[in-house]
Amino acid sequence: MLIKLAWRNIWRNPRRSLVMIFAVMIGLWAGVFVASITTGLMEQRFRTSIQQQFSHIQIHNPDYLKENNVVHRIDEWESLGKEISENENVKAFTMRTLVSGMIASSNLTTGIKINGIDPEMEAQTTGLNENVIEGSYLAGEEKSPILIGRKLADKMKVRIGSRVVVTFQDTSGELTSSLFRVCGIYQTSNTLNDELNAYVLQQDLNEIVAGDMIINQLALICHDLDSVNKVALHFQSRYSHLTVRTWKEISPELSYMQEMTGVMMTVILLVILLALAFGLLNTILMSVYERIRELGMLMAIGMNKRRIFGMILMETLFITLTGGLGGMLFGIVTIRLFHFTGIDFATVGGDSLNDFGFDSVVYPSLDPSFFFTVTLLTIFTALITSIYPAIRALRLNPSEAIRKD
Amino acid sequence: MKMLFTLAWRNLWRNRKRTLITISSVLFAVLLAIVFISFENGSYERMIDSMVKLSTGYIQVQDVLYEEEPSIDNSLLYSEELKETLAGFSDQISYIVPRIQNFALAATESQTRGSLVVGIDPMSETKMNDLDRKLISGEFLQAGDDGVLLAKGLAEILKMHPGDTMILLGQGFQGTTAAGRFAVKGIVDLKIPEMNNNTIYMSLSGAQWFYGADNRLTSLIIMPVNPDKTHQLAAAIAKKTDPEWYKVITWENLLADLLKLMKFDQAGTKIMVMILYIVIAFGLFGTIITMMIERQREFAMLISIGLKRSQLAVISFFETLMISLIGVIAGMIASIPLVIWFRLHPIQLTGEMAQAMIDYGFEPVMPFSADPQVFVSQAQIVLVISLITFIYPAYKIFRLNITEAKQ
Repeated sequence: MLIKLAWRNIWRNPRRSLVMIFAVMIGLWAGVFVASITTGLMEQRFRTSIQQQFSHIQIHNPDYLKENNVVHRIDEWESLGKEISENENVKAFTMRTLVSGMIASSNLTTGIKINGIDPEMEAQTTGLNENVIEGSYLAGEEKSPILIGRKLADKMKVRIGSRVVVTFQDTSGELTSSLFRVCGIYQTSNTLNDELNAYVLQQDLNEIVAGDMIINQLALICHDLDSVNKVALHFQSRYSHLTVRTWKEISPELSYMQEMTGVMMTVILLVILLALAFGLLNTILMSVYERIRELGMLMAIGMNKRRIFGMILMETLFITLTGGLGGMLFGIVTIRLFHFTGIDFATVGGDSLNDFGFDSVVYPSLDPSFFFTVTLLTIFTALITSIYPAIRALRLNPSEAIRKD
Repeated sequence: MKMLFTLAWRNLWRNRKRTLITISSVLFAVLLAIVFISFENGSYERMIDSMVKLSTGYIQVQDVLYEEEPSIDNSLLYSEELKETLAGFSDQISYIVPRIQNFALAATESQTRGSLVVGIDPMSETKMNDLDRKLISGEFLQAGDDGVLLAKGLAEILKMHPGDTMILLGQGFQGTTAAGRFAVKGIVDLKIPEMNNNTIYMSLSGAQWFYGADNRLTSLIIMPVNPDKTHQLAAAIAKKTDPEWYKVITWENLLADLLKLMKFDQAGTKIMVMILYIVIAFGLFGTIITMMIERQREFAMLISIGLKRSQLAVISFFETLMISLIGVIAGMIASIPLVIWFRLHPIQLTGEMAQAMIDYGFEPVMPFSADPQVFVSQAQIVLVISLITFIYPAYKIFRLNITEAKQ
């Protein structure tokens, strides 16, 4: 009976009810959508860092991690490489020779890490070839090509075809200098890193450093994130004297960034829920106010206060559920839509990002569990909000209320 | 017109409850927008602040060519003339941090490593970034010292401990060879891996001797008394120095790459703020629509006793204006203690994230910004939103069907 009454009340004044339904809908949609954008942003940042910089797993000789010296090599790279390429969870991997040294042009000398790479493997793993903004990727046609970062190139005032001298210590501890020719300039999202890393052909570097093949680092990309730990554990147990690290160990900042985004998301959600709550509170208060005569009448003909209270709560519940359902559907539709088309941040001031190897388009996405949390929170907020106006309604004096114009 | 205004004013206080409800809608909208933006901006401000303190400083005076070609050959002469010029600004300059830096090879018996050798004035450097607190073993550098400080990562690579000696070999001023034997005085943990693996600190005079660059600096950092006046100070200094020799650069240019990257995050924030405004607008709109339903009878009555619809619209506009203004101002005032409270008691972080921040030398908190600009801009935006929302009553007044509404 009370339920029926509440339901009819809602549709007796459809405009007012629709406004509240819309408010709940928009509130819920906003919460879900904002969360999905944040998740999308984070995923994009995460993907970029993993792809361009860290990979999912890195394998080193433990001494290399301590001393950064080229002599600490991975001796069994051949068998290890073969096993990795046969592992079904691994999408791509690359083997690098790493030498720390100095790079000098005619006007500047600075510190650098030389990465000796296999161009094909590197391209598959990190997509380095796509980050080349000038000149060409290490193609192997020229003699001793070197690929350097944009910032470093600017600093050293070198162009495509310029010669640079690279000085480092070979495996016997002797200082050697060698001439390289700049074949290309690259840029990733991490400018600081670009400044410190240059890429040369593995065979060129090994010829100078040792004469035979030296591998210091293996970087792996897995097909999906969930299998990373499994793969890491597998190779760690097979090669216990090597250090196998996952992205979490390589870059604690990445997981820190994820947590940070979580905190940000909570704060944003809180603010939106509060905005929703105050909007609703005022609307319901205003509507109780408007209905004084009606409520007074109900009291006068004998409806008791508990029932009035129940009726108002019930009305809010219906409105919230309808709005919540609508908001959820609207949210799902918009997220789906934008998930495929993406939101181009360039239009709201995020331009110039392509210079950094970032894609300025973000694809919102959301974890279903979060979806339901937001929905529950929204409905909960709306219900809590309606309690105060309902209490206000109880305080009405029927004889006065009924006479109000 | 004056009468309409009086009518509007009286209307507001005739139905006090309704007015207060509407004002509170605006008030909370402003409050939330301010708190949200202050929270967002707080993170950016801290990031910039720490970058400025850790690396570039607010203003740098460099040789004209150094920015394009950061080689020691393009160092500037720290002349008496320059000192005098800067002394003229002594009331605006908090302190000055001179630096000379270049790359050199650091060699021990078995290891050779490229490293950044930075000549610093220990006193002012400490003032700028608390370098002395990062000391983990040995002793801190003193002015005029001939020893060196090694960054932790580099010390591990070279297997150096305080008391050991090492060779530095590099290029000095104008092609001279810089070479010398140096004792390791202490080891500092710079936290940031890229710096920790290649930095060596020397006293300024030691480095100038090493590089054969007497009285020369690669950059002269100026920390203003009031960082908000960085630009005015930089412009004033630039005017007084010879542009053929000196270039005065502010942190925005020095950190251009970082700022560009931050724009990406800010673009995300902008979208979120827009969504917040949508929610706020809907909250306000709901209140207004409900209010109009309630007031239909009153408006119909006024029109039927002869008030022109346009006059009624003007009255309602005045009401709107007053409600919005009161709400916005009250919201700004209410947000001040809230923002101050959050600034003094920032949100504490815990767990892995907090540890990561401590490792980077940050306090593990989410700071709030108290930039007055935040208050004003958000108040303006909400004022505009609320004025737009109040178009609805005016529209309603012109469309009102008197005979129906009076019932």
